[in-house]
Amino acid sequence: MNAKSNSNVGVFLALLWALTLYAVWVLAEYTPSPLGNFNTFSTFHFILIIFLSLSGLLILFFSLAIFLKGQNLSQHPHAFALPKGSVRAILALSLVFGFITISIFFVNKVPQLKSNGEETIDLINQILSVLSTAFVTVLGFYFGSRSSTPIAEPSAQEIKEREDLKANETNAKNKAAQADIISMEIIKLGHQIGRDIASFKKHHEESGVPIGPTHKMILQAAEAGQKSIEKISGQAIQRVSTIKKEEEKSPSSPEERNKSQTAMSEQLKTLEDLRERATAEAKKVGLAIRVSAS
Amino acid sequence: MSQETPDRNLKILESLLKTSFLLIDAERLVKKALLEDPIEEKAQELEDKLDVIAQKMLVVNEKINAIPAGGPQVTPPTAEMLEGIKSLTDEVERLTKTVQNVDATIKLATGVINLAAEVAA
Repeated sequence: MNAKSNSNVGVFLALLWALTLYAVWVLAEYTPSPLGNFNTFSTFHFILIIFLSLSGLLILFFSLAIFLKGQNLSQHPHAFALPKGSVRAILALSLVFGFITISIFFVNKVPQLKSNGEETIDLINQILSVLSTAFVTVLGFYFGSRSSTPIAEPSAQEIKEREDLKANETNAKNKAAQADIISMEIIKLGHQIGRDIASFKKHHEESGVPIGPTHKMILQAAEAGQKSIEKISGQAIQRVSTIKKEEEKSPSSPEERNKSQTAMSEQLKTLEDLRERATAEAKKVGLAIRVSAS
Repeated sequence: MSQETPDRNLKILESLLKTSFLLIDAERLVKKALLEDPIEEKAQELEDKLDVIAQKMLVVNEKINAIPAGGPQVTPPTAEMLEGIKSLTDEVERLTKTVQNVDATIKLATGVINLAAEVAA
């Protein structure tokens, strides 16, 4: 059922409800003769209870809406941020409740009504017949429409919301994948430098030539670069972890999604900078080792 | 290097190596500044600095490679040059840790280029 038919059902139910109440009120107010000693005070009391119940229900809905707005759930696609069809279900149940209440009311009045004669009983029978037919029609329409349209056609807003969520998920996954690649590149650079330095040391050990001040200076420069890359690798791993945490989040509102995407982009930019720094350090170590080999 | 270099050459090599490291860092920072989408005039200035840095790298590396063959034709670094290397290394560190500033990067690149010219002279 789409949004238009939802609102049609709502209007129909509201009109039916109002007509029912109006019929009871007219019955109580303007037909004293056939009802005779019908207790008008309890009739008004009855109407008042129905109206108060309905008002209470509306107040509850409005309170719920205000509460949900406070919780940033006002972007929810369905009325009062309740699950889809809740409002229709509440209206249908209200009608059942109203019908039962009216029936009980008349049953309680049977001794009084009998004393007014058969005409009064006939009139009440007719009213109850009309009301029961109307209620059965409404409930039949409600349950029938639910079973005949198990998968509701999504509204334009719902489609946009789904597309946004999907795009957000894809972006987050792409950024996390990029972060993984960059951090792996940095770690690989670190390993490469480690191997180069180890090879440099091994070469000198095997050659038997003692490490003089020049080689010592070059080795220090290379090891400083290695330490620097190790530090950069640690920072990169932290950034990747932050990006993964953002990826795992499922932001519900567009504002939260934008915030999450911005945070991920900033972390990714920092990671790219860390990669550039690691590449520069690798260049320095490479240069130092090349000098030592010459 | 198969033989022990004399003390003079060690000082020259160290200053050339550190200058080369500074050129690598300056190149990285200039490239980073270009990614920040600077105004056209500044972007052009940064591009020019990149070209000069690349030229200076070649010169410095040539000097480094010449050391084993008997020592490059460069004078040993003066105290001022060593101070310059230290000060520029600190500036590289500072710029790496802080938010990128195009003017500061241009200033650093200019300083490194000038130092490279002096050290490799």
